[in-house]
Amino acid sequence: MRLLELAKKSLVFYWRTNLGVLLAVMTGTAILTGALVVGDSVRHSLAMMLTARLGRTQLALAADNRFFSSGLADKLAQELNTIAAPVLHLRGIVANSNGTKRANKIEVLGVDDRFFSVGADRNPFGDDFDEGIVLNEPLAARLAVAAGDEVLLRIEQPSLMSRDIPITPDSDLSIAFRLVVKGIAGGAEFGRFSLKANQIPPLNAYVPMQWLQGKLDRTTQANILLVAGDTNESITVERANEAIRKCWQPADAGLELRSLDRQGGSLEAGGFGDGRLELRSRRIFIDESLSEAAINAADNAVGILTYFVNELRCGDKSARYSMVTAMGPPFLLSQERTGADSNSFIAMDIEDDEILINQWLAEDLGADVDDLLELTYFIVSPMRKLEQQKSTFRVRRILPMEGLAIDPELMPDFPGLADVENCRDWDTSIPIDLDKISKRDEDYWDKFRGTPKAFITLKAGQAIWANRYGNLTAVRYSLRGESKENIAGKILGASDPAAVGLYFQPARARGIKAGDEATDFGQLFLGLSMFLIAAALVLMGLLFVFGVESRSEEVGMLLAVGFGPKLVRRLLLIEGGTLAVLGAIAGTAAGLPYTRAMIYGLATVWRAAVSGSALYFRANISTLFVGA
Amino acid sequence: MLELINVSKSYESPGDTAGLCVLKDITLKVEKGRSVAIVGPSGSGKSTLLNIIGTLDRPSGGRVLFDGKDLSKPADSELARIRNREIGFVFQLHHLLPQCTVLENVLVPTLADKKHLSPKESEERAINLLQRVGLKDHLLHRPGELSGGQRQRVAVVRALINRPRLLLADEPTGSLDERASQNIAELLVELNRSEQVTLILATHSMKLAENMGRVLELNNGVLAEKGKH
Repeated sequence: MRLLELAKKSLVFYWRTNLGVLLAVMTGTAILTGALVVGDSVRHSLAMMLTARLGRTQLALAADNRFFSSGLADKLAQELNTIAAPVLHLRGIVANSNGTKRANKIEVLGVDDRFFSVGADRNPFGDDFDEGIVLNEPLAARLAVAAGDEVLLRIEQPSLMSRDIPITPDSDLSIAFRLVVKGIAGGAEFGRFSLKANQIPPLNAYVPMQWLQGKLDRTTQANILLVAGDTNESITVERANEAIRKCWQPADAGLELRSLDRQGGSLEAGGFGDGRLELRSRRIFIDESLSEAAINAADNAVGILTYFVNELRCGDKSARYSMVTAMGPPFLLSQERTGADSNSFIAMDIEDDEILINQWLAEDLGADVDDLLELTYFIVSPMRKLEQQKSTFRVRRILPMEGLAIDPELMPDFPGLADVENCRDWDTSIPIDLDKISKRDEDYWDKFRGTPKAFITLKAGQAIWANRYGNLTAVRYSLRGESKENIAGKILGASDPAAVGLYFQPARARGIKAGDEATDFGQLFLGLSMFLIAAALVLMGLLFVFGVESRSEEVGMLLAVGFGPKLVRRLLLIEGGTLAVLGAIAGTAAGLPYTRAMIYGLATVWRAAVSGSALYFRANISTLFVGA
Repeated sequence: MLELINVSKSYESPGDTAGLCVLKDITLKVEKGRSVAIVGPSGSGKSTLLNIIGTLDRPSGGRVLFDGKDLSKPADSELARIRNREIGFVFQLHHLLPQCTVLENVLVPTLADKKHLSPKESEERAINLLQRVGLKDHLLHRPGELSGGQRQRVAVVRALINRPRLLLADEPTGSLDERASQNIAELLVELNRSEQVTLILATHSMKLAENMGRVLELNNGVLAEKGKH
């Protein structure tokens, strides 16, 4: 007989006590393992959610209310040798055909097949990518619609410029479409796409990107760019951002570099002449980060800041609602470069408190040289409220209604202003009293459109009108030996794409980090189960000690026949260890169904604890060993 | 072979009361192969004396010499080895392991020191001894299936399995009827002779003691010669 056999016989003989110990160990292990496996399952579920949310997306560029050319995706795909998917993302509302069910604040995503290549292997649009809408499962469930049904989609029209800039129209900016549901996107069709690490399933509606761009008059524009990870995950944020720097074009920053030659005689007469370029922004104001580069791109660059003023007053006479332009060097200071006669348009030595007014305004106000002119205009306060302010200038000169002084292109394309025929049709967010627009004002608009009625120095203009959206509305260049491409290259070369929202973020890495930093449900359940585990341990200890004490005579006999204390301990340890191992194995096996029950609880009774997210069972081998 | 020199044993009492002196200056010499009976009433210290001789307890004073070796000095592990190889115990209660068969019970002491006897040798000796005590047909029986006398015979065989030179029997017939007691007494005497094992037997039965070669009486902690046979 061997010691192990003796231990085995003892285990079997004292089975009642040992069974108690075994059950206690098993209970403790089951609870411990279960709690840890809940942690595994939650982590696994978060990882699954991340994959469902991002597909193979590794990096994401989310420009929000800025728009870049969707062609940038092609260039980046080539540069990074991976798939880059442009997305036109807007907010919207969708309702079923009879309007009985609707979902607000849904994500409207203009996508093409590249989007589904990044996120899924199945394209729910199939071969027909012309029209129609695909809803994700939660949205389809909310509306109770299926493929083939009709829905009414209302999209929030993106504003040319921020809604809190004065002059931005605040009229209804949404457009509606009646569309046929072409499919329902589940997890396999990238239906959970979202750049936000939110466990609540998003409400996504997918429409063909080209169709959406056309409807919004934003041909080739997008505001999200997804870059798929390659097999060795070598596309770093730094590499991708460097690729943007290499590939971006003025249009990607919302800039347009256009020729002024088309403007004809008025500019010619004023001395701009042939070969003139103008840099404008689709966002009206040129970002400060870009404007500095734009000014420095050529030594003949002229900065222009045209602003809408509510009133120009001289004494008791006033003129309402006019454009005033601030212009900067060298346009104002260099006679040679502008070719302008210092006596005909702008004095070379104009001071920052001086103003040039055109003949029309001078007649309206009865103003003359050296008269004081008060400008009243709105600015956006730090609290994003309109504040009316005033500035006073001294009239330096009165400009005749000719040449540069009658350049309507100096007015930016203010939406609601630049695109209306009659000034009574102005549609801006600032309070305009249309009754105060006189017949003479209408005549001016008909004849000269938004031509500024007054001019001040750029320094003075920027001091009162520069805002967080920019400090210029245009920059003009004279093409003397420089090509348009050269100037564009210089502007982009000296600018940082990140400053205009063109930068990638490590979407996947952030998602993983967010998952890692999420509540450790394993520890949470372990904490909640600690009382049970402690109770099981105490019970196990008591039963084991009770078993040993009930065999004290046996221990005495063993000592008497020559067993040393160590050998007796070893014998008892073999028995206890065997019970512990068997209990741990049984407990681990029992812990798995226990965990499934916990997961079921989290998916049903305790659903609020996981914000309604789907949970998937997962048990890592290492966790089972730790639990055992 | 065994010599006790002024062995005493006392237990401290709580408080200021005087300690309890169980054994007082006991001096005893036992030659190899002899049989000695220690008689005395219950509580006279017989079991304490046997426990001290058998190294299960240590004396408060005096020395116990086994083959000239002072048993108060070795470490616990060495004492365990001595108990395993040199000393066999038979208790009033058999203390057999209920989970083991008769044969396995006999072999339990061999588990403590595998080097002493090989497994095969141990098993052959166990079977031989069990045959000698009339239990060959009960090798695979469990203690619960045996009578009291049979159990005690198994306990005696277990005490002899490692060929000890000293066999200590503490009231070996205390829980047996007269007939079984007589059988055990005869068995011990026979084994004392055939195995040349020194036998020290503690009992309150003079009838059993008379089977031994020498009878000592322990009374109030003092050991005195009672007679020789």
